[in-house]
Amino acid sequence: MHVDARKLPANSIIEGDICIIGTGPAGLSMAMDWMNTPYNVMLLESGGFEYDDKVQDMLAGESTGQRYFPLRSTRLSQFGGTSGHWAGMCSPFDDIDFEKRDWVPDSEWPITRKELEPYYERAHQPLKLGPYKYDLPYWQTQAPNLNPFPLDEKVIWNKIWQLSNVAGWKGGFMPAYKDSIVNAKNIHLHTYATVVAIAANESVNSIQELVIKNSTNNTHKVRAKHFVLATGAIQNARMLLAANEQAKKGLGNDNDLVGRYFMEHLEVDTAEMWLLKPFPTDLNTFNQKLMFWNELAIRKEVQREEKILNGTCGLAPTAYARNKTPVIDTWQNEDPRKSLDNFFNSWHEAEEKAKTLSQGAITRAFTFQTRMEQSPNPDSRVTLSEKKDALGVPLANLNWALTPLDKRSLRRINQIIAKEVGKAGIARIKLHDFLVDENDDSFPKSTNAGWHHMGTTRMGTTPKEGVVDIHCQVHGINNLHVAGSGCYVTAGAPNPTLTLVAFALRLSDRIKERMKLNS
Amino acid sequence: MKRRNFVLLASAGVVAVSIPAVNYFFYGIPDYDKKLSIPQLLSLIWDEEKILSIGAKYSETFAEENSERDLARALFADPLNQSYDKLEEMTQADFDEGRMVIIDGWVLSKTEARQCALHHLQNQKA
Ligand SMILES: Cc1cc2nc3c(=O)[nH]c(=O)nc-3n(C[C@H](O)[C@H](O)[C@H](O)COP(=O)(O)OP(=O)(O)OC[C@H]3O[C@@H](n4cnc5c(N)ncnc54)[C@H](O)[C@@H]3O)c2cc1C
Repeated sequence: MHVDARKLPANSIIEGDICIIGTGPAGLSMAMDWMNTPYNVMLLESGGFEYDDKVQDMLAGESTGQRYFPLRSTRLSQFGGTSGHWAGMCSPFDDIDFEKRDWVPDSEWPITRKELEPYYERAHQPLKLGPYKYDLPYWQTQAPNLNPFPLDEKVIWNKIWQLSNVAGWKGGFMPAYKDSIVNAKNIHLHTYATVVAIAANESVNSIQELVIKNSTNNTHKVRAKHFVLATGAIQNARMLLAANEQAKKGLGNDNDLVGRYFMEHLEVDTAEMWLLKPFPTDLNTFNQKLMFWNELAIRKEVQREEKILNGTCGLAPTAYARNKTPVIDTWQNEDPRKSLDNFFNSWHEAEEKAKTLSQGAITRAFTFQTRMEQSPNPDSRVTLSEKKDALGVPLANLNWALTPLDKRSLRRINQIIAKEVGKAGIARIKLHDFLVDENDDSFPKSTNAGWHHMGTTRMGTTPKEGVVDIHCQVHGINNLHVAGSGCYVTAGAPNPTLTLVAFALRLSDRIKERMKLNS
Repeated sequence: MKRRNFVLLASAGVVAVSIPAVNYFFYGIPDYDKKLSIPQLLSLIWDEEKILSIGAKYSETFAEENSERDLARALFADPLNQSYDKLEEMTQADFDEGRMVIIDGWVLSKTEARQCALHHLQNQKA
């Protein structure tokens, strides 16, 4: 069922069993998991079924620290959320991402990778991915010529990605799920329903209602037994921080953790690998038929020995990569649609220019795009701005901060692979200039990120360690939960959405269990 | 023939027939085939200009090795075992054992980087 909240009479009260705020991959995956259950689900979305500049305005904000994308264009506020623009690359986190790593400060998760395993498999369904298989031998049975480089398997392994069939270029979640959500009897989708306030009970240990608003300026209230914030990591933090009437520092923020530990993925061109001889393989190019992708990854034992972060290297032809404008430069328009156009135009330009470099050894050269987690850093954070959006909510500001460990890891990952390809006698590697000086901890302005927002409501066993508990419930507030990558303690190397959907489904199970117990 | 002329001629003759020996005894430069200073594997991806420029940078970075004697000694320690195969073996061992250098961003084996430097020095002399 669908309601356009602009058409609701003023001061309406909307009531249900569970209220999910946000219809991105997190919120929609959860909502679909509640379809055909006896529970009434209130699904709230700021935007509508089409892009709306005015709604998008609420995502604006300023950035300090490491240069970043405009906050306004790094997300999408419409049904389906940022899935309208995402590339659809999915791969699960590794075991080591959840393990204790004493060389990575604040990196310990209170849960293991194993606990997430069944949810990863389930997450394949809403994300419309292939079979839950991420090992190379399986994919080699699906297509010929997926030959890996003959590298020492104790050091390097091949990490597989799958490409979602609900990627942005296919329209994202909107065309795939709009009808089923709108037609679901127990799902009450409210578009143009922007949550502007969260009201708790007197002792601030339970949420009573939400206030929603839109351009009509009417306000409405939403009541439910459980509330799930699924508005993206920056928005989730903003909403908690802005709910500062009853809790001075914001909800769930007694320990000043909300908004801190913002993490991104570094997605940076770091080196060129020049193959000494042609190496026939289809493994390292995007496989459109299988919707499959592969990157060179570093074994966890090596990460431990080297005391580095987790990262992988994808390969792009150097003739193309040398002509490509850094993504961060192409994506500076405040309008996400224009940024996306610029981004694709730069691809096409680079492809055209690459055609002039179609002879000689450069045809055997591949540029590494290193995809790497950043280390959890309390100074990397989302805060509230003095400025407010049109509905009166303070905007979010971001200070994106990287650390010397990030730079050293980026360098070492490439040096390690350089050694391995040398050992294998297949190639030589040229590091990009910014990685050469071992004493240089800085990151150039052209450093790309992945539009991946993580870690602003991190998970921790106690309120001192995290904003949410191991079940993604806000510590101390028994019916407020967070779905999304904000709950990550570390960022892992792969793109975040598969993992965040897995977490959303896990949370879904948890709330269902609690509902059953209470009924 | 005057004694002085004889000495000059004789010494010229000696020089003419056995530069390697003189090189070895007077300068300590081992006898080696000049061609071997071109790193075979790198020449699959680089032209000579690139080899020379990397060689020049290696010499600059490792000033203590900036002589034909030091480089040739390091590369051709065994006079009876000098070949491309031997150099490739040494290159392989460098990577296996982590003896790499980074020159102009290139992660190279010490051996092949030294070959570039030697080639650069030969080129300067010529
Ligand atoms: C160009 C681009 C490429 C990407 N590529 C990949 C990729 O290849 N792989 C990958 O894993 N990830 C990728 N991502 C990231 C991916 O899009 C996000 O991880 C994912 O969309 C996050 O899902 P979410 O549901 O948490 O948040 P979102 O998708 O951002 O959805 C949040 C929703 O909440 C709504 N909302 C916000 N505030 C309120 C409010 N106050 N009231 C009501 N509703 C509200 C918003 O309108 C929005 O619809 C990419 C992102 C971009 C921009």
